[in-house]
Amino acid sequence: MSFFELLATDKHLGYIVASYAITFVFVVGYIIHTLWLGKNVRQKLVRRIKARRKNDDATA
Amino acid sequence: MFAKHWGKLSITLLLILFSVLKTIDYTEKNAELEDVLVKQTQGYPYVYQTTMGEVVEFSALNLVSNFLLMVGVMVVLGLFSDRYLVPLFNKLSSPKHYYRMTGKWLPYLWVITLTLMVYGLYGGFTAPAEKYQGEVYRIIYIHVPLAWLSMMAYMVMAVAAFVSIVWRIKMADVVLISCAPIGAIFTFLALVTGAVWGYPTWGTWWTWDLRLTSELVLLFIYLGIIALYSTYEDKRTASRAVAVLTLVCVVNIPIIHYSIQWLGDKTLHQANSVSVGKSSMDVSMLIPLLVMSFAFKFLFAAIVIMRSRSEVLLRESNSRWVEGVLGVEK
Repeated sequence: MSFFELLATDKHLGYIVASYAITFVFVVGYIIHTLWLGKNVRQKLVRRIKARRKNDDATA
Repeated sequence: MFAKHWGKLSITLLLILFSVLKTIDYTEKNAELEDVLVKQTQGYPYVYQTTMGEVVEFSALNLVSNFLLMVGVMVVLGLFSDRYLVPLFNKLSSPKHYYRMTGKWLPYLWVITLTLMVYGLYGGFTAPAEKYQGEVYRIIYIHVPLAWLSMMAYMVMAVAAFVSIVWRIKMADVVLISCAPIGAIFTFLALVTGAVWGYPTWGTWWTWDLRLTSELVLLFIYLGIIALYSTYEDKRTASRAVAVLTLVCVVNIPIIHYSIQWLGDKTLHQANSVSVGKSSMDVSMLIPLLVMSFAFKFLFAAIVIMRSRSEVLLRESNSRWVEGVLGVEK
């Protein structure tokens, strides 16, 4: 009997689902956080470079 | 002569050392086997079951094939190290080339990760139930890869710390600090999934067992490294401090790994089901576990590359090539 056939009856199902759900939430959450971080860094650097150029132009 | 072929020579020496250590390991296993051997498993002439219930595979053929494999790897790596490996490492140590090269690798890493994960999960959920634990053993397909990775991530950091201290390569600092948060998350998840598995099998969520406690210490080490890095404003000083701390705390890794062997039957944690060259698991259960293990390794590589690319941009923000990458070049 495979796991899928025991889905409704097995008493340990809650433990299995809980551990997979926690892992999934943390891993996917961390990937999203890393993507957001990358985007944030790029935006921050673009702003910084533009501000530096503006400052250089003003000085010149 | 040595300066010209240092890559080839050092890789060959490392592989010879690994091969010798592996041979010693097999010899020790053989000596132990004579004391504890109780019966020969039917149908497998070189597979034995010990009094501890552990299944050990041993044969002279294993030893010879292992040695030949190592010689083969030695020859291949030795031949190609100067032409391909050393130039590759040289290129990866330059932030600009690292950023460009890893950008090309990322899509492939994600495709491999997802494919392996889908295959591993399907295999894990369709494998037969375990004789004593029933269905709950299926937590193994995430708990064990996470636990292995928690140690592997730290070893990657330790190597990066060594490279950073000895050769002062900037990219080693970047890799070191990029690994720490993902290592901390994998360690945390290994502890949580272990607790969730522990309750139905041991009857308790947590016990101050050596394996569990040393894994918890590893989590604190990761958090300590992240905290230490954030306390310095100057990133070069921060990287140096973090590299030293990482190398000092590497002593915890063998404690985690060998805790089961040291304590024997005094520990609540079960003995290793899988280690290099042997397994007490059925193939139908083992293959999904190994596939999931590789899936998590590729996932780790992909996330570390993503984080390190952001870190490279931040550190090299005054370089011309960064302006080109961000699309704001003059």
